[in-house]
Amino acid sequence: MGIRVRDRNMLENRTRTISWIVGAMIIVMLSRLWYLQVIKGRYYMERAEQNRLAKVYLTAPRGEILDRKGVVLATNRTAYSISIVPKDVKDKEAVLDLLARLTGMKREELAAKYAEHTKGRFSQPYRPLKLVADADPKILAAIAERRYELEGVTIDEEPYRTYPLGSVAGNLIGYMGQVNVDELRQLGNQGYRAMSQIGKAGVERGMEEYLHGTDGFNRIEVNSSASPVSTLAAIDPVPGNSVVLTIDAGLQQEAEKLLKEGIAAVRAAGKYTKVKSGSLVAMDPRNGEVLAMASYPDYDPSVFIPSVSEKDWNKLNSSPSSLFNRAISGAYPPGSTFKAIVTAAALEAGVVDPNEKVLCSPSVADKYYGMRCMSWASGTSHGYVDMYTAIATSCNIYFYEMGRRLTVDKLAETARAFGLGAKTGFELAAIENAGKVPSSADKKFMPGEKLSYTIGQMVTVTPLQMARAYSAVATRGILCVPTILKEVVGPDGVRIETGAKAEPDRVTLSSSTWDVISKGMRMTVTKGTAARAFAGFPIPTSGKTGTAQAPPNDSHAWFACWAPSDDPEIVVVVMLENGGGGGASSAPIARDLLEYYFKVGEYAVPEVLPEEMPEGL
Amino acid sequence: MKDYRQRAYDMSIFVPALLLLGAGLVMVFSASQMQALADYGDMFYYIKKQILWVILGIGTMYLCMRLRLENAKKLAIPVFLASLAALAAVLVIGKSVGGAKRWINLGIGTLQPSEFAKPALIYLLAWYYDYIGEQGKTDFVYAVLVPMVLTASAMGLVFLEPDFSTAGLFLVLGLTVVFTNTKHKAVLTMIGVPVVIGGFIWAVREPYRWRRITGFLNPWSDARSSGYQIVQTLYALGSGGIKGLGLGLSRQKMYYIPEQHTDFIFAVVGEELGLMGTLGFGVLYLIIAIRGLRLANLAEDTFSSTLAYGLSMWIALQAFINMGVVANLLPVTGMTLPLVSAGGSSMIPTMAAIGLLLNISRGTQQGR
Repeated sequence: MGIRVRDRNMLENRTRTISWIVGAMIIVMLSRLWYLQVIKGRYYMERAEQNRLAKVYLTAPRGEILDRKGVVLATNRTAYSISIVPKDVKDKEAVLDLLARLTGMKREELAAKYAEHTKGRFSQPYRPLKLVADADPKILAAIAERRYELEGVTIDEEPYRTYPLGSVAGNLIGYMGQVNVDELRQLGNQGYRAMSQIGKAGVERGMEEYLHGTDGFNRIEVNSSASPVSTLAAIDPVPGNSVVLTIDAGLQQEAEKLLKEGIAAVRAAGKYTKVKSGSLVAMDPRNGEVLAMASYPDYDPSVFIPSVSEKDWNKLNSSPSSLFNRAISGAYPPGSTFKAIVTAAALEAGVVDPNEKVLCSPSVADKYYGMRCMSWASGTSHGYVDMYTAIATSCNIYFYEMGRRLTVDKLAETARAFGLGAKTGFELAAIENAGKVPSSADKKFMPGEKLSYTIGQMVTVTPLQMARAYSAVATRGILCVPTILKEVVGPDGVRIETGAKAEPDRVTLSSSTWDVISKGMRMTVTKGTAARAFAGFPIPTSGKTGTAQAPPNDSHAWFACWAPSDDPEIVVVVMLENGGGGGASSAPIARDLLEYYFKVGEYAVPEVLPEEMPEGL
Repeated sequence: MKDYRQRAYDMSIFVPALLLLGAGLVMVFSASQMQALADYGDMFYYIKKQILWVILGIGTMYLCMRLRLENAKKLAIPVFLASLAALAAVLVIGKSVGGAKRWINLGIGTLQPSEFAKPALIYLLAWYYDYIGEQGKTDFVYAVLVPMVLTASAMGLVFLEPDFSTAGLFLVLGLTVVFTNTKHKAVLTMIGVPVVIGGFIWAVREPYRWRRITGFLNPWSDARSSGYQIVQTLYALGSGGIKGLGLGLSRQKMYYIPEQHTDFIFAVVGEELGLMGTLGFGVLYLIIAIRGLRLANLAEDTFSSTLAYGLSMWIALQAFINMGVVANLLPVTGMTLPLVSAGGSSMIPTMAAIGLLLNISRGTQQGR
């Protein structure tokens, strides 16, 4: 038993005092509640019923999306919606009749929506029901004219997203949609409401934090006909910031046009009829700024405003998907464009002298596990080739020989040094594919697979990664982080942030290695696999074709290049899914884009074109 | 000697607490569903969280019921120091809301350290009086000065957040515990009067502070801006009348009442359940308070007795303050309605207090 250390008398004395205090509190509270709820109950009830305060949210205008020269890619316009507030409707039948007539909606449909909104004990008759979003001005005028017969019907302003250039950069810009439950759970305390719009894809999504403003609201007092009488409190919306992209809208538009036409041309040629999709990346190799990024098929983000129809949605999602940004989300085997990396690996490892000649002939097939050079298919072979010619003609046997002399890990290490196999640090990281660069730790390589590695069949890369790797080749080692964000500008026009990136990484190779790669890639364009496409082209260009096998379908056609060869300003990578040979299908698209970029105009194309290279190089 | 104590928990504390919890859940759902739908597109958003808090609260209560107080009282110092650390931490890493740092963001949710410090202070003082009682030290310094310094340490940190009303609550709780443990009655006037005068001078020196404190006296003078919330709250409470509008039928809860499922939930109770509801809630708190005081008298050692005083008075006082704010008897304070308001920072410490009261009741002679 515990010890009684307390003074009983004192305790009871204290308890008595506290009881008095508690008693006094009870009396005060009881009389206060009685006064408020019983005596003044009816008064407050009436006041509450006349309560015509409403909280009206003011949606913050979203920031604009601009190209590098200030061309508007996405902005806002004011739209008007028609809503009905059941609490304020006096004669429901008459109002619905008239509304049906004026808006052209079906009477039953209106009544059903109305009934759905007002049924049940938890309904909110003071919450507006939106009937027509983005209403036609004619309908608005008709409603405004007869507003006295339409008590309870309101016309509200809403900012709507609009894309002045339509589908230009559509896939890159992305689209908007109503915030969903999961997003709200994450963002609910950041000013999003159930009706808020949020970027769902592309730049709209990736740069949501800049673009999204802060909604405001008005607390207004309204009179018996629901017209605002006075504003009690207002918090103004804060518009979102605008983002200036590194994209050049003109180049982007040209890239999309060329990609679309190029795909159509390949299909029309009749050999590769399954080609339906592709992508193109143009980037400044000196600073990583992406100048154009196209993915075909693409779409006009306007179809999502105010909301996407089921038909459009199904169409966008049908194969090949329009919503998929192939330039960053698609990872494909790079085919022979990977040979730039193999060249670097072989020279740096010192396993070959660039002038050493390797025999390409069907007679040596056994040495390479029966694997073949593409040239053999047309009954020819490359004969004895040195490294320059091997790059220019994309001789597989030469690179198989390099594969025999190198380890898989050396190849993987070099590929990773060029930024392959990892996300690039591009702003739209959420949808970026890292690709795959396996090494001996990931899988056991059969001897034939090791040789396949050298012709780009064992790794996968995104077109953006390839553009980055070729930027490093073009600049002899500057490995920039690709970027699309030039700067962020506040609603008042003041720059808030620049897209400046940290110091670029460097790919460190000996200067002689760079010389060999540069010379080989220049030869590709002058007398190699891309010579036909670039015949007569006045700007010195260097590059590499690629034809990545994708059995059972046709090969993917790659072309990666830069220009001018000695003072690179732009890197262009074109990739056509199942488009056949890189030199024939993709290189002309890149050439046409360079024509646009350098404003080349007419130039003399030799009458006799270099002969077409064997398929698959 | 035969042990004639009935080894039973006091059902008159347990049942009212459970009734408040249950009714609280119903009211939180009723009050929050519209807001949840508007903010999160899910009318169950807040109630789901609250159910989780109630479950955790019941777990906490059970733990505190089963503690062996004889051993657990040694925890008083570490628990109190942890509370002080949390109060200090909130000043540094706290989330700033409207200029005040009262919450720590834990990533999964936010925590209000001052809520946890309330029972921790009472627990510490109970241990302290028990300790000096055993040592036979009952002079002024030990019985009054030291406890007030301890109280001031917690109060001061809360004051810095700044959260003046909660700091005031700490003072009142500290004074209550001192009052029930010392014969130096005059001391209360000695401490109380300067504090009241000092507080008054401090309040009057800043006109805005004075306006906020007196604003509640006539909300209609300013009904369009700051008085707006109070007026809307009175509309809600008043329009409930005697029987209320019916469960779920509050009209004021959407848009009009601020923080309708946390600090102002009592207004929704008043509107939906009327005077019968508000009195019902009041009576349940009153029962807990009365049984707590009775427990303090019956308890056989200083620790249990002081703890019973402090905890039951804390719950009763906080309930009174919350109701008083809603009924416009007091200026707006931001204090929750114990066991009812949504939120874990309020729920867990209160449930711990209920568990401790039940624990004490079990070790006490229950016969009349």
